[in-house]
Amino acid sequence: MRPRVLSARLRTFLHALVHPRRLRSEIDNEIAFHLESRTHDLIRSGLTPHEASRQARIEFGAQPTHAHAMRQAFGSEWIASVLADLAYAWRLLRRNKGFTAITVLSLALAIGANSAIFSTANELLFARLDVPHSRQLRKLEYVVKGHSPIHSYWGEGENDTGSTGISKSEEFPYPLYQRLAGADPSIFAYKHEDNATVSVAGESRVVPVEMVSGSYFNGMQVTPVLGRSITAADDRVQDGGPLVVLLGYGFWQDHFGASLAVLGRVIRIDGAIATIIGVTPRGFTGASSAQVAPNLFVPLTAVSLLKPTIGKNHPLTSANLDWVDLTRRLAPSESASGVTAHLATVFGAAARASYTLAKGESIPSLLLIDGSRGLNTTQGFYAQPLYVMLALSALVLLLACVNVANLMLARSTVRQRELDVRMALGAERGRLFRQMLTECLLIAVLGGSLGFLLAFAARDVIPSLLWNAQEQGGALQIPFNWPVFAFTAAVSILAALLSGLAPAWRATRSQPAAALKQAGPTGTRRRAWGGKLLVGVQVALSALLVAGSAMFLRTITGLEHVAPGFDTHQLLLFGIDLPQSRYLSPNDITTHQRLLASLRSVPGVESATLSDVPLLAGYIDMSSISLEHTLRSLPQVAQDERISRTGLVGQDFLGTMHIPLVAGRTFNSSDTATSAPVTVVTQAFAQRFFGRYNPIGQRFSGDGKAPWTTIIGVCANIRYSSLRDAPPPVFFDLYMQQKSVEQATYIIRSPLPPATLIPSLRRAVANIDRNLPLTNIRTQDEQISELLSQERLFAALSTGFGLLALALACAGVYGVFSYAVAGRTREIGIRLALGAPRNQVRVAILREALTLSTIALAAGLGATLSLAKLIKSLLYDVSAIDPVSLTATTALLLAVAILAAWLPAARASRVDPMHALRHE
Amino acid sequence: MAKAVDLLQGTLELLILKAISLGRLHGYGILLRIQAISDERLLVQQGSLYPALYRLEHLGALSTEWGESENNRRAKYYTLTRSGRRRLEAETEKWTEMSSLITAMLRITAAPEAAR
Repeated sequence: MRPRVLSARLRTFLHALVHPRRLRSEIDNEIAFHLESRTHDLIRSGLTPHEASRQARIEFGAQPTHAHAMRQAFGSEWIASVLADLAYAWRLLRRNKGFTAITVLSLALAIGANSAIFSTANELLFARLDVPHSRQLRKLEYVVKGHSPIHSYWGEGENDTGSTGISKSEEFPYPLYQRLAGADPSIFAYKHEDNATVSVAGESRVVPVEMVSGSYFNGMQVTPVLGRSITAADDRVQDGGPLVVLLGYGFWQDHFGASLAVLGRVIRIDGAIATIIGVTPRGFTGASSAQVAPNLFVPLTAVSLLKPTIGKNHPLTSANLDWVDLTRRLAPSESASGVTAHLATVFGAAARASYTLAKGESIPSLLLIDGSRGLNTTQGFYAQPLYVMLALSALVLLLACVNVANLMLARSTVRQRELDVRMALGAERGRLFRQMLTECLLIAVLGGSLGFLLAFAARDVIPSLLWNAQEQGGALQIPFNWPVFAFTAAVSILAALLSGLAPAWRATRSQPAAALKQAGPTGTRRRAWGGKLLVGVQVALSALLVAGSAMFLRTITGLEHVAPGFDTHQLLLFGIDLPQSRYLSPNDITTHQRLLASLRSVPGVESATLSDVPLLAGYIDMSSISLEHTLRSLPQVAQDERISRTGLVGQDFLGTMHIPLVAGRTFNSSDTATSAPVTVVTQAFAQRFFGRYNPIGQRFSGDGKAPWTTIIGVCANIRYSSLRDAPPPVFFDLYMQQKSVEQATYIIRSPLPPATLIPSLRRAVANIDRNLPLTNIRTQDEQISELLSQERLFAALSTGFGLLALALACAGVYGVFSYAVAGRTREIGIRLALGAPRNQVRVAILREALTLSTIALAAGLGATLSLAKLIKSLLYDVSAIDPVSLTATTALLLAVAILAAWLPAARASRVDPMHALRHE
Repeated sequence: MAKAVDLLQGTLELLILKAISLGRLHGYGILLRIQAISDERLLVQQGSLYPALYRLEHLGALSTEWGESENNRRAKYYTLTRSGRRRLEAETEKWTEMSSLITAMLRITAAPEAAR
């Protein structure tokens, strides 16, 4: 069909469809013109006007009938044939329920999985802040050759010196921010803090908060939906100015019922009184993150109440602490290089005035980077797992397309005779083509709709598997992503169409007469070749997916069998945060002591202790190690190895965790806040720093400075932050011998189920302080399983996809050999008639299936080997050329191939020679 | 005036295409041209002309536009497209072949050898 003709049909059809009234009046006009002209001519030939008009009408015939026929010529014919096609396609699909089910399901699964995973990836990797013109936002960053003169850091990101010898930081000391803001008032500053204790009407909870400068809301171009925003005048909290707060939209809805009377009400943040002045718009997630919205917005200087000290630094005055995030909006009229140059000059001058450089340090220089995604911490955390998931789902999409192509090809062969007959009977080629197109479209629409339902149902599943709301300070909301869905649906549907149309094209181009005369297996032969290729691709893809799932399964089982070095059962963990604003040192230490005493008295609690770092939770606290006496007999430890993990723990830590003591003693009641500092180290620590030398009684220090702490005992090795790493050197200090311990994880050992235990624990804490919330309550086992959630997700996804791939490959092998056997019935009959043993026939078919599968398997395993390098870092105790996984995959796939080819092979061996020969 | 002839089944399209191939026309003009050429002997049912025109337009053989008629009225004018021209050629060929076959058939006075 030529495009011009097609377009004329479409144009007239659409005209009839979209402008039925206009078409009607056009038709009426045309008829009226005809009648008028005819009347005119008849009058000229001598009739009276009345007679002429009557005569013209008679000659024309029934007007409504003709008008109807005219309209029909444009549209109805077309619609009618399309409807007929649809009805015919529907009948065919219903007759082949198995075919329809497999095709539609595999399409739906591919669309659903891809849509869900692509949406998640899109949100976590590429989402921009929901503010006007977010692309204008530029974050400030500084880079240093060598070491930075700013030594302390408070934040979530990492600013390691990489192998390049260049360190960088997106956070700045507050005094430098003041200098920058003095020169360029459009810079705004903010800091995201996950844990602020907020009390509303006597109920306390820990929520994420963003501290923001007075220029922040202007710079973000965000106006509160209620009340006013934070201004420069509000940002004087450190001088005793009143504390004001804006509520996040979600927090306002959840805890204030979206009440308009909320303005002027007072809440407590870390104990400090704060007046509500406004509510931020819905969907506003602050400047730090595009995923999680802070619940509260307070002035930046409120840091003097919420975090008066970070280590030894006071955030508002120290030039030695990186902590403030800075962003600037670049107006369309401004040039990025001009603004950067200006700010770099100011920054350089301020830095040179503020720091005297030590050896290896240099003055940092300023850069502007993309700020439209906030700090974009999610990118770093989730990039690799998401890319793996994207790869997995893309493979499934490919598989679904191959599957659809194979099924369509198989069907077109079966229907070759039907098509031949219809063409011989005079059916138009285009008509047949269109009818097969209709079938493909119907399948695509069914698969697409089911895929939509799947994607919609799964839209929360993938994020919840990846995302820990407690740890990330808020639930991740991934909106259903229409463009992503449309894209995946379009890809799959296009694939279905192409794979369906190629056979349709071929089928309708055959020479019907020749084909009918042969009535033999020519079509099958040709199909067998294309079919085998597609089946080969299916087998190769499933080999890839199955091998991947084997590796991930071995990783998760390997990790689950790692002995953590302590008894993880019957341990309940929760966090307690003692805000400095209310618990100034040493008040926090004594409060922890009173809390522990109160918790120990709860019935059913065997023991209770605390640690500033929860074990196997991904948290790390490190310290450099300097020994007091470096004896010759001690092992030589390289400079960058003189570090150790550490934890501040309660007296009963080893006992509560069931960590065995190997030498010396553990903490006891003689170790107090005022006695000499003592420490217990792990065997790995003793091994690294003392070798075979007895470490008991030796002294070392955390930063090379006094006070020295004495080793009193050596305990067994433990896994510290992750199950993957070998037990690292760890030393445990007593928390009460520290100056201050703000946040701690409490560890309770009890045989009681958590549900019974938790209420009494809450009461025990409330007895000490009514406004102390228990945060992130979980058992140690839950904590570990959370640690492995990513591995489990990969294992589950790849296994699911692998099984699907196996099932499809199985169906493919079965299909292609069934057709092959059916097409060779005559040949097999002749062989049998000539005396070939039946067994030989069966073996021949099986051998063919095995050859095909082996070649495909080799290709699949080859692909696995080259791709496995990419997931190497995600595996545990499994090499990228894991022989176990590869052998298992080979065995499984060959077994499946034989199984799938068995039935057709058996059918071939049962062929009745006489019947087969007469069959022609 | 010679005797009137009823239109043969399926020839209306051919006549329409031929009439328009001689120049742009409106519906009534097509009727007049067919009648003029056939010396008023072909009887075209006037109303059935239009569904045929619309079908040809739908098939892309005719393009249309609204214009002023000779008596200053708005009328729908039909022009042959390239596809229409091809269609006319194909139909003409088919017709010539068919009519020469039929003519030859009707001229036969004695049965040919082969059919005996």
